[in-house]
Amino acid sequence: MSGSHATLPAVETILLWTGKRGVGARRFASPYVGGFFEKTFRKGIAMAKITFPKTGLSLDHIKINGDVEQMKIDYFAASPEVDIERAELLTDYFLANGLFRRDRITALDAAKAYRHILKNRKPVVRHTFGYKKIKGQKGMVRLDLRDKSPFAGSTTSKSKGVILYPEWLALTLWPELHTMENRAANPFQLSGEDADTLNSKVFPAWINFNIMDLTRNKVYGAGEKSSPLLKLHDYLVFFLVSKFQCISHTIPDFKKALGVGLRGVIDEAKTKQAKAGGEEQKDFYQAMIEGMTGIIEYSHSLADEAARLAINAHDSEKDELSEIAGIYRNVPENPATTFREGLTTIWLCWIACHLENSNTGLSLGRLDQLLYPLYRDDVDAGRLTPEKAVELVCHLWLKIGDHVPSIPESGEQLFGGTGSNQAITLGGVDENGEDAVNDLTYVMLRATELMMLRDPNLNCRYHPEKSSREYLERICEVNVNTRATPAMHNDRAIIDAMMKKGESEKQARDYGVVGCVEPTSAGRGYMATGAILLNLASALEMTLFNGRHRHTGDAQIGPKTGDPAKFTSYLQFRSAFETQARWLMKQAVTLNNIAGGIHQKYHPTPILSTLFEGPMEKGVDLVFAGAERNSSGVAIIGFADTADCLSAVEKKVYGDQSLTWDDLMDALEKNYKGYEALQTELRNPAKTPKYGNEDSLADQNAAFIAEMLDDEFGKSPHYRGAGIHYRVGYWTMTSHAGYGRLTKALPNGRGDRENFTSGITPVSGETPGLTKTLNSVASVPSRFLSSGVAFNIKYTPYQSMVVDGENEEAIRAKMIKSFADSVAGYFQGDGNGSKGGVEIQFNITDEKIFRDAQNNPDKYVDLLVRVSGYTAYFIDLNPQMQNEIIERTEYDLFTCKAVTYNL
Amino acid sequence: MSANPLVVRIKRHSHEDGPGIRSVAFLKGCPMRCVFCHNPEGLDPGHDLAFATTRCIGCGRCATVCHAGAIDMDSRGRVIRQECNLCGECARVCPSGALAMVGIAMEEEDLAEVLLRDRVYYQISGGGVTLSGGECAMWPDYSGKLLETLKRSGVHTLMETSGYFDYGKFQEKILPWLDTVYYDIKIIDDELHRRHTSRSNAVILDNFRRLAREDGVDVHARVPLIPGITDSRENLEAIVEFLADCGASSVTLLPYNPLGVLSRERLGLAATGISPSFLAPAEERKIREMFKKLIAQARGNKISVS
Repeated sequence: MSGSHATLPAVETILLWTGKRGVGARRFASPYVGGFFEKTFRKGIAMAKITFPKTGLSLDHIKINGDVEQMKIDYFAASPEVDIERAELLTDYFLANGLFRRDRITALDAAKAYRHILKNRKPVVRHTFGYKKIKGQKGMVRLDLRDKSPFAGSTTSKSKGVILYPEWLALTLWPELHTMENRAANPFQLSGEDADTLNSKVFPAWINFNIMDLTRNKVYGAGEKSSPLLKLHDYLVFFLVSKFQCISHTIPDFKKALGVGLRGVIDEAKTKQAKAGGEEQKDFYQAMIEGMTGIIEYSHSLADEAARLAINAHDSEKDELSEIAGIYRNVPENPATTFREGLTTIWLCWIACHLENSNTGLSLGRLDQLLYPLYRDDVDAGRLTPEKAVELVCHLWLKIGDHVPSIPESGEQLFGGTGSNQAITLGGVDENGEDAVNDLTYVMLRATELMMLRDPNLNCRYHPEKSSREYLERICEVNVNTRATPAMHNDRAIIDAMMKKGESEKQARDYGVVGCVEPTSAGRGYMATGAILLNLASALEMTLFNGRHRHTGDAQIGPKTGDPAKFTSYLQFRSAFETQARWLMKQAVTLNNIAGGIHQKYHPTPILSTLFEGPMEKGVDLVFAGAERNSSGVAIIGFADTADCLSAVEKKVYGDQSLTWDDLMDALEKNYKGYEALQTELRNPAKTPKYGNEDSLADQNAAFIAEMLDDEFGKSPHYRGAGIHYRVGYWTMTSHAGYGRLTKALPNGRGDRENFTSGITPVSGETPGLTKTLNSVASVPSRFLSSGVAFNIKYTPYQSMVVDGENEEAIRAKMIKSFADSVAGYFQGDGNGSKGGVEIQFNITDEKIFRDAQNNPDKYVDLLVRVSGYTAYFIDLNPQMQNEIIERTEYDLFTCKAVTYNL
Repeated sequence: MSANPLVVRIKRHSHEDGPGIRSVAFLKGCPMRCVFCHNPEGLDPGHDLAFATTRCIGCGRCATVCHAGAIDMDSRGRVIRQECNLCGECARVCPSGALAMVGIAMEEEDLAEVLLRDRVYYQISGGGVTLSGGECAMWPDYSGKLLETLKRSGVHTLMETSGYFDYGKFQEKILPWLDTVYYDIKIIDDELHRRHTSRSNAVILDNFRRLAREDGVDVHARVPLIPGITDSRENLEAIVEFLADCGASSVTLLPYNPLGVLSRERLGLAATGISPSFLAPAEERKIREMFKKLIAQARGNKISVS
């Protein structure tokens, strides 16, 4: 191999490094070297990827063993505990090094701080106790744990921890430090001693040094707290910029960590450092070295702890602890050579990512592709069975869910019941466009089905031409069995949309899902897909009220676009709406870019940058556009409601002329009181055009909005540099319910404070025909939906069709077939240029069960639901959000009543 | 009678009217008057005005626009049928759709366009289009042209029929474009058949025999279970015998669907005295058991339920 190292792609770099290092000391040669890795990732040479029989893909003979079962029970019983370890260590380091007085934090400063945390945190190999809430009792009680995980270490020192990021939004918990244990929804445990530490040391230090206040003070100057943009943000009802909360919403690249180990990465950084020109670049490579060294130090302290525990342990536990000690001494420092080592490497890197960046949508990518060479090698060599692999994956899934976001009680409205939304992506096509589903895909699906966890958030890719029918039926079956996961994504539509935004075909084909639903080229696209949440209904509101919003009273917020009663045509109204919407988008982008500048000054991200394609080659941190691909993502709230409002005005006021502006405005003012017939008419899809019903007027308004948003955000300037723009996605978490509560009556017949519809989903109850709805949603051109969509559909579970247990198996089989048919049709598209629908996700629970769960939450601790992008436990949601899910249109896939007899 | 039938409604994503995912077009007009008709909107070939009490919000818009004085806000059925001239104004202004005109005039190509929208779903699921009614064989030209368009677009076609039609016209216009026929066999005793359906079954049974001998079409018999009317041992036994005699290979029992009772009420038609509720599962199971035994008895061999 010849030529400059700097221009080599990652894989060749790996081969090169291994050649230098030699593998003599290793128990097995790394399959990433020369062999499998090269075959599968580089040349795409066909190999036997699926060895399970077609009829045995569900792996339903594999059950969870007693240890995992017990840990799962404990997991559901445990309440999250606020963990101050990270926040305190970070604060100590900042205080000791005078960083709070600095007006810039470099990557090297940050990396040293994170190394300090990794090195000094408590290495936890076995969690021994947690806390649980007893219904009706104040406070919490101790819960003994029987931790048997093969994966040591955790993101916090607790078994289920709330990580505190004082540089982001942890300070919003300040007012409730002593009351969090008794919250009605999602209570957090916190000891009095830890609360004191936060009160007296940690939180005060960050008052002026968190991203929000740095933005206030550094951009606008102290005393100028009422800058119009921040004020607009504080009103909440227009948009939220998540720069104040996180940097993440992307997928790290684990390939190098797996293939050459972190020592190999450090060596590469040293080589680059030696050749680097300026001090700043040298420091950046030093930051990479510090970060990776910190991870190695942490793994070694876990190894020491495991060895220490092994001394007094017995039997299998002694063996297990010794094995953990051995593995953690080896990886992630060295290349992973077994499946279990591979999982361990990813887990430790994952912990480190979360000590650097907040747990908001950081996602794991295509684990079935990444780990397949190790899995195959182990199975072929007889070191691993599918049963053992399922067990390991179950353990990893439990670990991934070991932390929850520090959402204050007031945030429950917008993001209620959320986990960290750590998306994992399975299946789809490989970089050559061929079917990439393999045995490990099915192993991970089985683990998902057995565990039924909220986090990780499972996503399956499907290609209408390349994916197999068996695979599709299997992911439908997992949905039927888990009631809510995995979500399904259309490779053909998504790859096309990404390429239209500039990704190469290869980069686009290697997309993984981030956070809720956002496609991102895995390990190389720094897309910050949750950068902005925009409430589109606010633009409509300002159109109706000439730039004012009823939530903010008489204040003139948006531009004066005129009194709608004077508009003589629908187009005049629509163009006023467009003016308001584009103005609102510009405000959100401007604030995001300002806050992005604060990230560049105060929050570089050296660990994530090291675990990413681009920064190593460029010598540039992710926040300065070090990644191969760059953008930021916007999530739109109120899409269907806004589209339906436009259609109602177009049809009733200007088309039929059956409604005057005076009457409409009076009806909105009075929340349709005295206008019940009008409200009924505006809600009735047979009387008023509704998006999602194959009504061309309504669907055209929806497409108009999608095109306008894509146009404006697609050309908006970006703080990371020229040529970088924003992308638009349609997913809403629970904010469609939260924003709904802040919004008064609208022209589509929606009353005061009612929920908006989630994601890109049509308004509930107004789209009675399933295929009509699927066709309508698929007709929104996918090229405008480049940051993903959440399309929620609810199916009646087959169990509701079974009477007295008769023909249960046949009914179940029929449901899975019909389910798969509906998804395949939606993704297929009409062949007239449509690439098919982008994404679809399901709830398979009927109203009876939901109502029972509302009345008897204790019986339903693990009732999983799809919110809008992520999965949550139904009983964790606030009542408004629970009702939103119950009110979603439920479709029957079939009835099983007619019986045929052979004669 | 005009050349084109009216369409009662188009049902999309149906799993009950043939294999796979289907769209079903219900055409208006039927020569029979079965007391147990579960879709009475399909009886009259002309427009009907339907009133659904449960959807009415009592706004009174209908009464304001009615020129015929046919709206009585105090009556349960809302419409004074003998005064109503079916002008449709009340349905047009009704915000909830409680008052609705039944019967949409659609050119055959417009109907075909709607029915072809789910072509992808048909292909994937092994589904297609079903024509139902009413009795769509009453409209051989329209139905035939429609089915031809669908068939030429590669869509699987199925017709649900009472069997009461002119075989010659059916054979000429419709049959060439049909893949499958779902054919109702209700009552074998002609006297009882006349009493409950208003027509003799001679044509129906004769048409079935002829159709069963045709090549290139799959004819499938279906028996609607109507308590006290079609579910007697004697009738089911006679049906099995008749079907076996015709060489039929399978038969489907349709569970009793009482929704026609409600529909009649909505249309202001007199009740026929049939049961307003579904059969209890145990009751239905008993009939199915009996039916299985009858088949076993008739053929003397094992029966498998598919």
